[in-house]
Amino acid sequence: MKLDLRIDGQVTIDMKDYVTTMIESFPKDVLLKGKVASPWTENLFKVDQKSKLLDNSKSEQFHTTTAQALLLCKRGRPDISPAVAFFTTRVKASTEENWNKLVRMMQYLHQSRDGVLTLKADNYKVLHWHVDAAFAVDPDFKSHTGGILTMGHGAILSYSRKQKLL
Amino acid sequence: MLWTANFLKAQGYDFNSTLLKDNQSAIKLETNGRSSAGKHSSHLNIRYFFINDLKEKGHITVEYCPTDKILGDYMSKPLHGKKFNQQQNAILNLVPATAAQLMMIGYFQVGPTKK
Repeated sequence: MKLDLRIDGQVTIDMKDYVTTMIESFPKDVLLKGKVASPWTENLFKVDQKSKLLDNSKSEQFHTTTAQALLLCKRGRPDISPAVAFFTTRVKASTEENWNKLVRMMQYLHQSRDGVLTLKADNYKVLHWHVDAAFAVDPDFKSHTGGILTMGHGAILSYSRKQKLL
Repeated sequence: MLWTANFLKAQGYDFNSTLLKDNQSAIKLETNGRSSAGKHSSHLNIRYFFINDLKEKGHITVEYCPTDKILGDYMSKPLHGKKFNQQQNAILNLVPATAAQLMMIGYFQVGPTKK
C-alpha cells in the first residue's frame, strides 16, 4: 500500500500492487472471458440452494481470495465492499453460484486495477455519515446496512454488513 | 461515529457530525423520540433512543438526504448503470488531477526536447 501525499490537501491510497498480486493468484482463464460494468449482478445477495458445493481446491481459492478482498476493501478499494460482505458469509459452504459471483468481482478488479482512493477534505468542517439499509435482502430475511464517512471527497470509513437482529 | 469525532477533537480539529439518511420515519423518531412512536413502534426499548439524546446534546445533527444522493445506498444494495458509476466516482473520488497538479508531482517531463 502506498500513500501519496505529494499534492497539497489530498492523500491517495494506492493498492495497485496488492490488486495485481490478487489477480496473479487467481485462475487467469476465467478473468479474461469478458468485460463487466460492475462487480456484481442484481442477484448478489440471493442464494441458489440447489447449486453444487465447490471442490476442496476451489473452496480454498474462494476463501483465500475473499480474505484478500476483505483487506483490500477496508483500505484502498471500498467500492467492492458489498460483494465482499456477501462472500464472507459464504466461505464455509461456498457453491458454484458463489464462485461465479467471485469471478465477476475479480473480472471487475482486473479491469479497474488502476483505480486508487483519493481523500480530500472540504472547508465546511463537517463529518458526513451517509447511512442506508435494505430490508430483508439476505436469504434468511435479514436486512443489509451500509454506511460511509466522508469529509467532502472520498470515503474515509465505510462498512457494508448484514444486520444481526432484523 | 462518536469515536471519529472525539478522535479528531483530540488531534485538535473540531468537526460537527452530520448523519444523512433517506428514511424520514427514522429521522422523526430520532428527532422527537417517544412522541413520534406510532402503533407498531411504541414498544421500542429506551436504549434505541440514544441518537435522540445525542441530538439534544448537540453532538450530532440528523438530516434528510434524497435516496439518489445518499452514498450509503452503494453499500447496502447492488447498484448498476449510471447510479453505480456516479456513486463509485464519489466514493473513490475519481476526479482526474489537473495539469498543474500533475506537473507538480513530476508527471510531465519539462525541459528541452532532444533533437
